[in-house]
Amino acid sequence: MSLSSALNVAQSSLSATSLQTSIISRNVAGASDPNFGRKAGLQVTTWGGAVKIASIGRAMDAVLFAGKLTSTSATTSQKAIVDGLDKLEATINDPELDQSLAAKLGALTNALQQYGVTPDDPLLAQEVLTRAHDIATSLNQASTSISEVRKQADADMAEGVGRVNRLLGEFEANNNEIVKGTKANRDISDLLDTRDRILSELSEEMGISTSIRGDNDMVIYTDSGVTLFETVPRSVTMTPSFALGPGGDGASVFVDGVPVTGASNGAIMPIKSGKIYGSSVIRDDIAVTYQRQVDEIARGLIEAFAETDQTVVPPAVPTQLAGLFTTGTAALLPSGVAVDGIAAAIRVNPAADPTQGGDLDRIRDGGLNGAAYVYNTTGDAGFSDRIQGMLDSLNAQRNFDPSAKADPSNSLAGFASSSVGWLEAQRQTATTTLGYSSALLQRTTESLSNATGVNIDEEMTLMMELERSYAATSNVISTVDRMLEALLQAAR
Amino acid sequence: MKTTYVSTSAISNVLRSTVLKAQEQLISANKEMTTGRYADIGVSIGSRTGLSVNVRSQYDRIEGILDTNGLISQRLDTSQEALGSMLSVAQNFMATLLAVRNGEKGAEVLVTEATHALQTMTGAANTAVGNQFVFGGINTQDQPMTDYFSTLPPPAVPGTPAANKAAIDTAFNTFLAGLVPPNPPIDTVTAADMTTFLQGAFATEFADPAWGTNWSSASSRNLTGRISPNEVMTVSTNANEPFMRDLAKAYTMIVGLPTADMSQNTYEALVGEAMATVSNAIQGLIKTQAQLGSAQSRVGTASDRLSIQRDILSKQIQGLEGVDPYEAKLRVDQLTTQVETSYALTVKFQSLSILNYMR
Repeated sequence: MSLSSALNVAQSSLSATSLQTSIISRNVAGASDPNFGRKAGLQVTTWGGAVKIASIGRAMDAVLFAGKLTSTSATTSQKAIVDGLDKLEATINDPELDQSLAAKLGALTNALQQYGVTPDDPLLAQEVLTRAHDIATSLNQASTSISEVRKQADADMAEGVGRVNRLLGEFEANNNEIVKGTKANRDISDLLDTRDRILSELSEEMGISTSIRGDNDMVIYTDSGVTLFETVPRSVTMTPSFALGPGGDGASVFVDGVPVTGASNGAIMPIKSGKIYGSSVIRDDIAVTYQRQVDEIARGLIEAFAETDQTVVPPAVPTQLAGLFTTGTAALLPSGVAVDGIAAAIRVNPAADPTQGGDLDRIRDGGLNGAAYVYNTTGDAGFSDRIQGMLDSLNAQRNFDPSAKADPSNSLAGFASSSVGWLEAQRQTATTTLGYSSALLQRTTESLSNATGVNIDEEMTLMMELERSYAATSNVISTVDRMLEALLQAAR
Repeated sequence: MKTTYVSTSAISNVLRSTVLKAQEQLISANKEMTTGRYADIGVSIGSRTGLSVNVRSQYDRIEGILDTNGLISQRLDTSQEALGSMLSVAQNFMATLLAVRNGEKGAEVLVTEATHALQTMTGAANTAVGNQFVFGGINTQDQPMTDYFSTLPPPAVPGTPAANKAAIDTAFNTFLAGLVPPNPPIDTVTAADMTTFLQGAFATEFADPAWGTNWSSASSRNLTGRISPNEVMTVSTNANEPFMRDLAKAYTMIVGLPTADMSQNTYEALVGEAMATVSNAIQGLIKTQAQLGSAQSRVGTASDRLSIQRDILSKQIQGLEGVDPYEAKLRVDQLTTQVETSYALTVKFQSLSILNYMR
C-alpha cells in the first residue's frame, strides 16, 4: 500500500513541477513587459503527502502602482504644457537672434532715430517703413502661431478623449472577465496584467484613482472624483473646435455629464493631471494670456504712433487717430483695456506706403489722417519734431491691461520685454517641474518593477531546483518500479 | 523571503535612462562650451529673459544713437569750419575798412575784397554734408543763400541779375529818384542822405520779408537731433541769423553801390556804416560759434556717457546669458566619462547572466 502511495506522491510532484516550470516559462516570457507581475505557484500538500499547485499568485504592490499612475499623469500633463510653451517660444527664440517682438520694436526705434537725424533722406524713411512692416508682420504671425498652438492643443484633447473612451471599452471587457474568473476561482493573473496596462495608458490621458470592490470589481474615478467607470464605462465627450481665434473659447471635456476642463471657471470638477489636462492649460490659460499680451503690444503700438489733430486750439482737446499702425479703423481704442484680435489685424497704414498709394513723407510730416493732422505745415525736409514725438511716445510710460499678466504700466518696449519674461518664466517652471516629475516617474517605475517584475537569473535558479526535484522524483518512480518488479518476481 | 530584489528590466532601464539623460546634458554642455552662453536661455534664466531682451534692445538703441551722434558731430564740425572761414574773411575785411578809412588803402582794394568776401560767405553758407545744406535750418533741401553775382537761368533773358542784386539796384535807384532834385549826380549825394538810405531802404533789403524773398531760402527753425534717449537739442544754425544778414549787408554796401563816384564825405559815412555792421556781425558770429561749440561738446559728452553705458549693458548681457566655458568644458568631460561608464556597464551586465554558466 505504501509503495503505491509513494508512486502517487511522486506522480503529483511531477505534475506540480511541470506546472511550476510552465509558470517560470511565463515569467521569463514576461520579463520585459513593464505591466507584467511576477507569477508564483502556491504549492500545497494534500492527503497522503501528495502535492498540488492550489493557485497562481501575482506579485503586486498597490501603493507603488497607484504612485506610478499619479506620476504618469503628472508627467504627461507637464509634457503637454512644455510642448505648448516651446511652440509659443518660437515667437521669441534666442535673444541673440533679435526675433522677439521687443527686438523688432527696438529695430523700428533705431530706424526712427536715424530718420530723426536726417529727416530729408527718403532711404531712411523707407527703412522706417520696412521695420514697421516687419513688426506688423511679426505680430500677425505671433497671433497666428498662438491660434495654431491652441488648435493643436484642442486636437490633442479630442484625441485624448477618443483614447479614453476606447480604453474604457477595453477595460469593461477585461473587468467582466476578472469578476467572472474570480467567482469561478480561475487563474486571472494574465487578466490583471492587462488591467494594469489599461490603467497605465488611461493615466497618460487624465489623472485617475481606483478602488476595488468584491470579486476584484474595479471602479475608476478621475483625480477630481468624477466616476469614469463603474460596471460600465461613463461617457467622456468633447466637441472639437475648428477655429480658435483670439478670444474664442474651446469646448469643455465632459465626464459623465460633468465638465472637467474648460476656460477658467467653466469646469465644475476640474481634473488636475494627464495629457488632456496639460493641453487644456495651454489652450485655455497660457496661450490665451500670451495672445492677450501680443494684442496689447499691438494696441500699444497703434497708440504710440497715433496722430493728433493739429488744427485744434489748445483749451479744446484734440482728436487722436491711428497713425503709422492701424487695424483699418482710424479711431483709437481705450488705453489699458485689452481687445481681442488686434495683433491679427494690425498693419502699416497704407497712407504711408508708396506701394499702396501712400506717401513716405507722411511718416515725417504727419497727415496720414488728412490735412488737419499735418505737423510739418511748411513742408521743410529737415522737420524732425514729429519723429522726435514718436520716439518720445515710444519711450513714454503707458497703461496695459493687467489681465495680460505682464507689467501693466511701462513703456511699450518694457511691456514687450516683460511679456518675454512672463513666457520664459512659465517655460522654466514647467520644464523644471517636468524634470522632477519624470524623475519621480522613473523612480516609481523602477521600484514597482523591482517589487513586481521578473529577474531572469532568479527564475533560472528556480528552474535548476525544479530540474533536480524532477530528476529525483523520476528516480523515485523508477526505484519504486524496480522494487515492485522485484516483489512480483519473488511472488512468481 | 527576499529582502532585496532587482528585476531584469529595471537593470537595463536604469542604465538606458542614465545614458539618455547624460547624452541630453552633453549636447547642451557642448553648445555652452563653444558659445559661452546658455544652451537654452529661456529655460536657464526664466523670467530674467525679459530683462535680457530689454537690455539687448537698450544696447542696440545706444548703438544707434552713437551712430547718429557721429553724423551730428560731423555736421557741427562742418558748420564750425564754415563759420570760421566767414569769421576770418570778416576780420580781414574789417582791417581793410580801417585801412581805407585811414587813407592807407584805396577804394578799389576794398571793392575787390568785398567781392571776394561776399563770394566766400555765399560759398560757406551753402556748405552741404551729404545732400543736406547745413545752414538751411530745417529746409535742408534748398540752397540757403542766393549768389549775388549769379544770373537767372534760361527762361529769363540772359544776363538778368539775381533777385537780391536786382532788389538792391532798384532800392538805390528809388533812393536817388526820391532826392530833391531827383536823380542828382552821385558825387552830390550828401553823407546825411546816404546814411538815411543805408539805415532805411537799404537795411530793409536785409530784413524780413525781403531777406527771405531775395537772399535766403533757409528756414529760421534750426535742426534738432536726439543725442541721447531723452535729450533733444538744436544742432544747427541757419542763414537767417542776424550776423549773416549783417555780413551780407556790409559786403553789399561796398560791392553793390557806386562807391567810386561818391564824394569823400559820403564815402566815409558809408565806410563807417560798413564798419559798424561788420563789427556787429563779428560779434554775432563768435556768439554762434560758441553756441555750436557747446552743442559739439554736449554731443561729445553724451556719446562718451553712452559708450560707458553700452559697455555696462554689454557686461550685463554677458552676466545674464553667459556661462563659464571652462566650467562647461569640465561638465562635458564628466558627462563623457559618465556615458562611457554606462556603456561599459551595459556590456558587463549583458555578459553577467546565469545563462552563461548553465550548460
